[in-house]
Amino acid sequence: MSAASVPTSEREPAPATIPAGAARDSVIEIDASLRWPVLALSLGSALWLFVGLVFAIIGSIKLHAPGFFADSVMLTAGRIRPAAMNALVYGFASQSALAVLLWILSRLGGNRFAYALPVVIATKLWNIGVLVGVWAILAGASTGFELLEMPRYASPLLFIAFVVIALCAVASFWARRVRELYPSQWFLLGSLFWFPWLYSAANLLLVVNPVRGTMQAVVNAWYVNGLLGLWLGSVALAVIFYFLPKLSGRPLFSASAVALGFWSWVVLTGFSGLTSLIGGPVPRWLPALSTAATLASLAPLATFAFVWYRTLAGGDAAARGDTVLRFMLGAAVCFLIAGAVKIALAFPQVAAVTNLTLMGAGLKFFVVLGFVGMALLGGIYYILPRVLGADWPNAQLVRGHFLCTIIGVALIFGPLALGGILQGIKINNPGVEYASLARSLTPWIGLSSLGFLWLLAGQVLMFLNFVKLLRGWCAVQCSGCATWFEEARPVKVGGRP
Amino acid sequence: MNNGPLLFFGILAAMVSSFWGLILLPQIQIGRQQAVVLEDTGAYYPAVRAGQASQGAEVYRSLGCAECHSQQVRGLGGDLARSWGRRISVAQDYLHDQPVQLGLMRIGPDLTNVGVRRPDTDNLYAHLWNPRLVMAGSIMPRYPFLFEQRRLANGELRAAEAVKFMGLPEDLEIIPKPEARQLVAYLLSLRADNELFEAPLPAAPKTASVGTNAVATNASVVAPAPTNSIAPAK
Amino acid sequence: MSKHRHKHKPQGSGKSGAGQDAAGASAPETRAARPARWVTLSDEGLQAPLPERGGEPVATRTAVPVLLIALLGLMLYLGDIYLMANNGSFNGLVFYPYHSTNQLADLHPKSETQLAFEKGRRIYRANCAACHQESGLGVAGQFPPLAGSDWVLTEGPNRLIRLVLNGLAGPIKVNGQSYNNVMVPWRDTLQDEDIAAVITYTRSEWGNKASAVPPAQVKKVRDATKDKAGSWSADDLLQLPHSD
Repeated sequence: MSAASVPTSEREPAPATIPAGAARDSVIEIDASLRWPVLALSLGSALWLFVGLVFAIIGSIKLHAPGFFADSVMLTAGRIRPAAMNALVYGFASQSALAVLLWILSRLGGNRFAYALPVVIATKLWNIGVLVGVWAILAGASTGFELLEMPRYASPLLFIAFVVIALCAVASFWARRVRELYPSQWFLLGSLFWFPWLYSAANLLLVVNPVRGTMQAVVNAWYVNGLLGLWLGSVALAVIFYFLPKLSGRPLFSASAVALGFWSWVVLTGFSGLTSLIGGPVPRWLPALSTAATLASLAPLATFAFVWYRTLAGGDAAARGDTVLRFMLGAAVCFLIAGAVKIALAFPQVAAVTNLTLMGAGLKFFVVLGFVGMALLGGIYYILPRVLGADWPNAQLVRGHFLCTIIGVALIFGPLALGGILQGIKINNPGVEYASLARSLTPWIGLSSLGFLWLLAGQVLMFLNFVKLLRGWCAVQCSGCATWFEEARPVKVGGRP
Repeated sequence: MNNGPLLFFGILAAMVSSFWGLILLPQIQIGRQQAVVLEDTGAYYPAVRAGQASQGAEVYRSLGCAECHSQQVRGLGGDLARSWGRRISVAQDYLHDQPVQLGLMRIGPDLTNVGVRRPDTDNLYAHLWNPRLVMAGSIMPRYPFLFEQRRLANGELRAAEAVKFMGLPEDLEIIPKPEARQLVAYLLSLRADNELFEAPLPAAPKTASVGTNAVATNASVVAPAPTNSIAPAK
Repeated sequence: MSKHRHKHKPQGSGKSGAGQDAAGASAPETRAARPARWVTLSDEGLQAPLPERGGEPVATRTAVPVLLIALLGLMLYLGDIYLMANNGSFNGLVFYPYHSTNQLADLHPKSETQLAFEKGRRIYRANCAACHQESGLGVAGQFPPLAGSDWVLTEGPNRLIRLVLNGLAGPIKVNGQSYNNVMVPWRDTLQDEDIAAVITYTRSEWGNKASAVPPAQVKKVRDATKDKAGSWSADDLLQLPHSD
């Protein structure tokens, strides 16, 4: 991966963007200060990605082969599917988002991260919370609200852990050496604030002191949209905006264009959550407001696409082979596709067909695993070797993971979207008997099960690489470990094995 | 945009506007709805679920039925044409539900009025025990853990509380556990088909065309409204 | 395009190279100040970090393309138009696919009485409200009230129908108050249906609660009194039973 880097001698010094007298900490110091937080967060997220994918595969198979694990109450479709989504969103995506967020904030701020210990402790708490929550869902203690299924004895753990990490991140941001802000920092700062608001408000209004009637559905839809858009989406966009220019060796095109896109995207996303309730039992103006906002979000979508295009156009040919950059491009493309699909689904005429079908599940997986997942995996692939001071032992495995991810995400979203459209058309034709309608969905769901398998295969590749990396790193770090890993030879730091 | 406080103010404003627009305003508007008195029966609507039916709502939540079944008759698509209800669902219908489970997907059919469409208790038990017994080719999973099942000795009779369903093997006795009884009581309580001001029953010609597509068991759903029970408009 | 490219080269790794030198110098203190297991890298790590790609990213200061601003404006405008056409009057009782509470009210089948009531209100406002007022309270000392009036709230509408058909002149006592004025006859102006509607209206508006009057009953009275000349007096009417 790092082999594709451009020799330093070819680069001119950058224009002076750092005010005099505010020297950055060295990148080595910054990376080293983040080693344990990033390691803890990414290790947890990798494990949860594994768990989440296994659950997702079981949940997917159960929809086309109802006899699969039929006698187990814990693995019934109605429990394993939300458990999978929770593991993927809170276990995998949120944790790697935090890892990447801390690192990018520190790098852009030019200051060492001084709060490693509280973050590591909070990470443990977060993982305990997710573990308790996922277990509770499997045990039947789900609250019944999408992506808020974790019962009230698990969600406070997540909230406290997040607040601790967010406070550390903001404190570190406050003490940054480089005062000038880069667009990624806008997104990251926002996401740190939006998640606690969304999570606490939704839990208070649904679980602790529930609102009445369909207001619950409104709060839930608002939360899901905010969680995927304003929390995970913001971080993923920040990652894309950070790595695209960095890895392609080009400056980001027009900070002011990104500002226009940022503000319009943030405000419009905040209002676009209720399109899933079109035609449903909520006052008509609510989904209509969301439809209008979703429609208008074509503008920030186009703005981001334009910025990315102008940033990349004419960039280093050498950089294109870089796997991390490919992950970022994949994430950017997924973002644009997901945004375009969302706009299409916001029209009542389309929602009449696609709402309440496989399309919704497909789109959520696409956002979490495609757009957010690829951006975060790419980020982790770049960051981990740097905070450990040792490169990935096998660049082939990284490329393999990328390929598996692309294939997997395409296999999940494509069939579920298509199958969802066909499902909607059949539902709207009362002549089609329901059992045969449901049966006709199974090939599409089957294809998406294959997609999850591809993702899992990629995940195994990453895991192999990760274990090798850690082993080599341990061997370098302490001679005591060397006896543990007798066969482990010290990895040349910074080089390729 | 290098001004940190200003940036934070914008970030805050974005969240506040979203919260006000999508949560506070609708909460003021529909958050304080009360049960209404129906003119024809004088009963409060919606009725509070009691006893087994309310426990069954917990089973429904716990098993995650809403992953594959919706509980909303939308004002669009084929919802009314499939006679899932004789009118659209409105906010009033969900006043006492906790949690409100509108559903994520329709892998299975909508259940808003399943208490009217499938009023047969034993049929529902059999459906939960093995959906393929009741509907050939169904892809709904079995819920055998909701039942005690036992092979009968030769000539032994089934217990009185055992499920009576024609498709069951002769020598099998299936006794619903309390969870199954609660769940079925809940399903039978699902009904939202009385006329409300905000949910008028569709005009007669439309109902007639619906009837041609309806399954025989749905006859009661598509029958014309006996009375007009109009809730007072705001 | 190419202009920008030259103007805004990203921060080169010359920068990070310099940073590495500084780190090399300060590393021993850093390590000494922290617990060994937490933040230190091995010496190898400090000296040979992974190649950094282009330093931290920077953004150009190019102005926003006007087209993007125009697109945002256009989309907001289109969104607004959509919202105006589909907002269901922002009413909490209006659900898809309905547009307003008026539309909902029209969708409910109406009873004969309701229709008569609404028709009666129109007729009352056009013909009667000038004297009896829209409030039905009349004018003290001149025109008697209809709201809560003992003449309106009789069990049957016998006297009321006659009074409306032929009018009334002379003294009359309503709810204990005396009035002395003239009410014009409506026999030739209003149809049976109209008179039935307006009497139905007066008997159920303003808190009045008395039975509705079918047009057939008005027709019967009209036929029975077709030879009556002139207006009624209150005393004549009181001779008659209030219902048949």
